[in-house]
Amino acid sequence: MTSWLRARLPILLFMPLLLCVAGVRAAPAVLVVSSEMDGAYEQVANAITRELQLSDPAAAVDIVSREAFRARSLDGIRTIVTIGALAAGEVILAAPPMPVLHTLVPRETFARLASSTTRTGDSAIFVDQPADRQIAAIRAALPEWQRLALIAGPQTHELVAHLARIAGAEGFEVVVREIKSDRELFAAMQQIMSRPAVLLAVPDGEIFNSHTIQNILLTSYRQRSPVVGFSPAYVRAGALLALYATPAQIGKQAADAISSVLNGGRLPPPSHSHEYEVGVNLTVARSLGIHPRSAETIKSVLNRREIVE
Amino acid sequence: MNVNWGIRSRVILVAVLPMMVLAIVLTAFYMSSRLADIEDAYTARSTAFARQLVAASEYAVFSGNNDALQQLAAAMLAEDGVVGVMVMDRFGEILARSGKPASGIGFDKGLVTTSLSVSAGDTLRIIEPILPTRVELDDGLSAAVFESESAWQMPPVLGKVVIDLSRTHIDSKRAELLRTGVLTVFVVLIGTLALAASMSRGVSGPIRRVAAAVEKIGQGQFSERVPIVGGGSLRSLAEGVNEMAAELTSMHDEMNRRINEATAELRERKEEAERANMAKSRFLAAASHDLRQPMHALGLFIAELSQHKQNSNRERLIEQISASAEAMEDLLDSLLDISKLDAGVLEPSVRSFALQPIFERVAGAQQSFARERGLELRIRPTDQWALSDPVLIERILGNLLSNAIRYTPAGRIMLACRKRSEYLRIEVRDSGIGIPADARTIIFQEFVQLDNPERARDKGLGLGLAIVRRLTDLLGHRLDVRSSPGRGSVFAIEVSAGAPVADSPESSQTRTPGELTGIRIALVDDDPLALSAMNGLLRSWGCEVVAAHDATTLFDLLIADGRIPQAVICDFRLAEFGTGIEAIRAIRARFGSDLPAALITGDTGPDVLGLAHDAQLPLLHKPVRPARLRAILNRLITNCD
Repeated sequence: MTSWLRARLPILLFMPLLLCVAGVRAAPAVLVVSSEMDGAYEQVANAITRELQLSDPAAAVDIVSREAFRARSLDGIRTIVTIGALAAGEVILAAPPMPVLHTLVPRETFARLASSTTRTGDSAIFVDQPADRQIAAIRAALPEWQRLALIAGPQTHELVAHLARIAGAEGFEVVVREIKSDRELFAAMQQIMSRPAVLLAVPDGEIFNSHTIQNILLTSYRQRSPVVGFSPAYVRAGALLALYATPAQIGKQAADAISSVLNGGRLPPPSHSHEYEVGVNLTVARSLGIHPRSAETIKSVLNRREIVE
Repeated sequence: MNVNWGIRSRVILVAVLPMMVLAIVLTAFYMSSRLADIEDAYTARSTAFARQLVAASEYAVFSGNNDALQQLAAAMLAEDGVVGVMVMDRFGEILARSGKPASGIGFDKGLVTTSLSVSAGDTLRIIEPILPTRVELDDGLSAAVFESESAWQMPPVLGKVVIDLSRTHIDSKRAELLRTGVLTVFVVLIGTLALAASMSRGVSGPIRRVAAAVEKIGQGQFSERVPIVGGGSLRSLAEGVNEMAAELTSMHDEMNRRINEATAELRERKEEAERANMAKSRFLAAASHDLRQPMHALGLFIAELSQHKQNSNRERLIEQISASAEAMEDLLDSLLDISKLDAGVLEPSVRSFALQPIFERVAGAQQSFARERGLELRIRPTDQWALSDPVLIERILGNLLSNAIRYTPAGRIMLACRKRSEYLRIEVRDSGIGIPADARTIIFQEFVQLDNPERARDKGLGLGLAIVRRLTDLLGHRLDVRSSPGRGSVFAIEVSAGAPVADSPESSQTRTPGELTGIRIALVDDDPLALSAMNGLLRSWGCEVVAAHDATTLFDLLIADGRIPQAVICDFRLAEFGTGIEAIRAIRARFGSDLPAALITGDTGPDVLGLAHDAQLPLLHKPVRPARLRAILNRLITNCD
């Protein structure tokens, strides 16, 4: 017994040290804070983990909910990734010392959050598509359509004005109508689509929501006008066209940014997603008697245009 | 449970009761569940109408297309049971209206977010909110985009649809269901009853066969047997009944045998008694005949003797002999009357007659007897007429008066008549010794004398009331006795009142005897003593008599005489010619069929009476009283004239 102990004593004495070294090596360098733990949020988180494993197998990723983040020690964290606007707000409030990459936030939201703090070095990948890309997509898909209709709510008249400006520059005849509630929606649509026009939906929950979209689509259909949305759900619901980034595309872009931080670099500046998808509902097109270009054509046209720029 | 129920009723009850309960319970259960189903289905259908209208009108409400809404409402009105349709916007303003929506049913003017159904009277109102169709835009990514607006959850209500439906339809369905249910129960009940009735026949049949057999055995058909079917107690019951029937048969046979034996013995005794009775009757008749012959002769001799002048001593002696002979004759007359009445040959001759003459005659006849006994005999004068046989009534009253005089030691006797509606009550009252209550029935028996244990001759024979009773029975008159011992008696007969009629010819009894002078009479009697006595009597009345002891001799005498007789008196029993009836027939054959004739006999038997009656010949019983003989002769000759 004594000889057994004497033979193994050195190992027993070194064991805590060994464990300590292993702990340092296993500490996660990346903390992902997600607004929700399911749906698109989960897909983005998974994409980040997956992509990071490919580019930097040593990097450890820890995914927590925003509630868990409040009690979380930030020791050993090199960078933080937030998914969703709620997680972004939570993390900005906590003001961690390391750089933060916000994903899955609308551009408007990020601008508002960024203006509330003095932090620098943070970055973001916006969930929405840039206005010029959207206008260009419409032009690419429906080159013969000249009229573009826009409806602005109380929250979105700036965005709508921005869009109208770009569309005007692109040569569209833009019709804009501002309304205060969805009750004025039908009258506004009747007015702006008195002649067929492409209705570009904007992310205003008070106007474009799951309860109004049916009647919006129905009205525009009766006015022989296509609707352009901003998510694949719009295309499924009956919009002719939608431009959107998938969680995988956002996750990959985020992983790339994190990699550069882990390798001693800095976060790239806030930007829209570099990669995106174009959804086209051909059934709606047939119903309206429209012949849009294919999604691939539109994408290639847009790619060419962005490379030129 | 009623213990008087028969097997069939019990079997039917056992079969029907559970079936009834089951039928009622099941019908009630299924009907109630069916009613609930109908109600639910109706509500569901109504709600479906409302939802259909909501779906159809959503866009029209969204787009404010009231014309389209009006069309939809009108179309909805065409649906069965819909009486009114309204479409309202979110502020409760009516956008379209069709039919006649009920105004009485209040509902919130404000927004409704869920379906409501209100039932009032015969109207069912469905209120359905118009909610925009929800198209799922939340694919995660969109939600991320609109994260700040994600609290926007409340669906914007566009308005509401109100549909009024009439409950008449469902009510009529309910009524029909109820009718069907009741009819079903009824049909099941009838069916069950019929089934139970036929089943109970099978169950109760053997027992009822036993009951029927027992009933027949009870009625005396001991040969009846129960067919043995089945087993158990049914079998032992049938066997027991059969055994009982066999036992009863043997007992019955035994009893019959004994009864037959006893009956035979009784019959023998009865025949013996009858033979004895006949022998007695023969003896009585013979004795009566043989007694009457000498009495008859004696009477005639006395009558003849009294015709001759005698000294006073002899006359007194003759009177005493005459009185004794008369008492003897009375006795024989009474016996004869009784035997006549018992023979039933007396036929009353009913007619209307005045009572007063009869009263007078009867009282007159008894007056001297009453005076002898120191009694006062009175009649109350009456002008009533009675409907009866006057001769028999006279006899009854005579007997009653005579009876009253005998049993009244002092005081008076009254004969009176009272009118009682259509009846006359003829009463004989006395102040005599009276009759004890326990003796009032036996006084009417023969030879019963209440106050004559020594059977003194002067107190009568005890036959008077027996004759009275026989006569009142014959005439159908009620005989009534009221009496209290020591204070007297009242004997009363009730006679029908008669109507007065013109005076009938005077009775032959009132004829004077002188008229018989010179009458030529043929007389036949085989008894020389009687023949001689009768001959003497008739001759004393001045008659010319041709007398013979038989018919042949009479013929010879009549032929020798050469004159036709005016009347024939013939004895009934003749040695040569058989009976007097045959002799009279022979004489009539010779001297004319209308020759008056009369029979004399000493027989009191009913057979002689019957024969005389059949031959329509008056019959005189020996001893013949001279007065009666004269009366008969008078009547015969008068009728002949």
